[in-house]
Amino acid sequence: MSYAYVPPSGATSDQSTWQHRKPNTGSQSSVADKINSIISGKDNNGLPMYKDKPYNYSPTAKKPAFYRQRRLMLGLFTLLLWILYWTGAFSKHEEHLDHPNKPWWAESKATRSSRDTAQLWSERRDKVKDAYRISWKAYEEHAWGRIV
Amino acid sequence: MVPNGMGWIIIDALDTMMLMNLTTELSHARDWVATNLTFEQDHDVNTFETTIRMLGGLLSAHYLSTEFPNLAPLPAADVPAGEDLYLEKATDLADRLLGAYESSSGVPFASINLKTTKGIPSHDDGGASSTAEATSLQLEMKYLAKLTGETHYWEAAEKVMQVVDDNGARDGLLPIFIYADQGNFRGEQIRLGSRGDSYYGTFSSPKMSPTTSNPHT
Repeated sequence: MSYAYVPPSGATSDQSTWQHRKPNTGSQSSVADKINSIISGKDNNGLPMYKDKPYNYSPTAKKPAFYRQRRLMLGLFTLLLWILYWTGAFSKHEEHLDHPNKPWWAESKATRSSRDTAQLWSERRDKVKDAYRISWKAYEEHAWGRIV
Repeated sequence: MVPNGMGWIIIDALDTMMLMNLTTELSHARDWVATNLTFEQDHDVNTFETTIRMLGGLLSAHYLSTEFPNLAPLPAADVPAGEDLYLEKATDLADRLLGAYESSSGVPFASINLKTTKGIPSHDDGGASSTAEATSLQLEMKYLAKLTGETHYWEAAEKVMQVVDDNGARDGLLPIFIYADQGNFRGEQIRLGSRGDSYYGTFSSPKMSPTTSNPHT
């Protein structure tokens, strides 16, 4: 088996290019040298082994500012959401009836004046009735009259 | 277990369903009372619990359905003319409960058999009844006396208070157990909590105080 690369016919003119892409072809004797150089670590031209990676190599070095900025922005956004939630910005206006001391932005004067106490109590009554209906339905189905 | 069930929860919830205006649920419950509820059962019940829950539940259902007919109104077709379902059941039950008061002192026994209407001394506490239980039967028995005009319901409940008073409460405080047969207290333990509490609550209403003795005055 010939290990020598046979250039296509008429490749003679390309010989220089081919030689350039395969620089080591002509130095078979250097294989042992290369192994020696890797073991001894004296070859400064070869790629570094994994354990030779420098400690100060930073994967974020190429885009540090953007990455850190995004984390910071996400954190700030989450904090803002939490503050809004804590101050009750997401809850319905009716829920504020019992808490008159709240931030100015939580409720406008218009919504405050349109608040209907009777309506609120009616809604609460309905919720109690709903809970009762659910329990009563289960009792009717599974224990009707039989509980001593 | 009671063969035919007692429907404690159904009776308990009648007034609740009226107040909540739950017509469908109330209609179902009323049907059960009309067709299934019977006190003719060989079953021992606690005198006090049966009075406040069963008798009280029926009486409150009677009160609400007659005084506030707009609450969970039933179709007229469902209610036979002249039928007073809740009051009739209440009277039947109270007649059985009266058996508990047939002790030598008039203080009711702790329990009763619904079928035989015979009073049963407590299985614990030396057979003594709870003072709170024996003295907290006023409201139901006296209201039934008012509704039916039958004074013996009133007198049975009132007699208990007289026996208790005759024992002489020191500083208005009573021991928590009282013997049904002799009408005397058992022990000297006093509680404002269990077995004592509702005796004192009885006096929060002037109409229920022991000095009011006759329904017709």
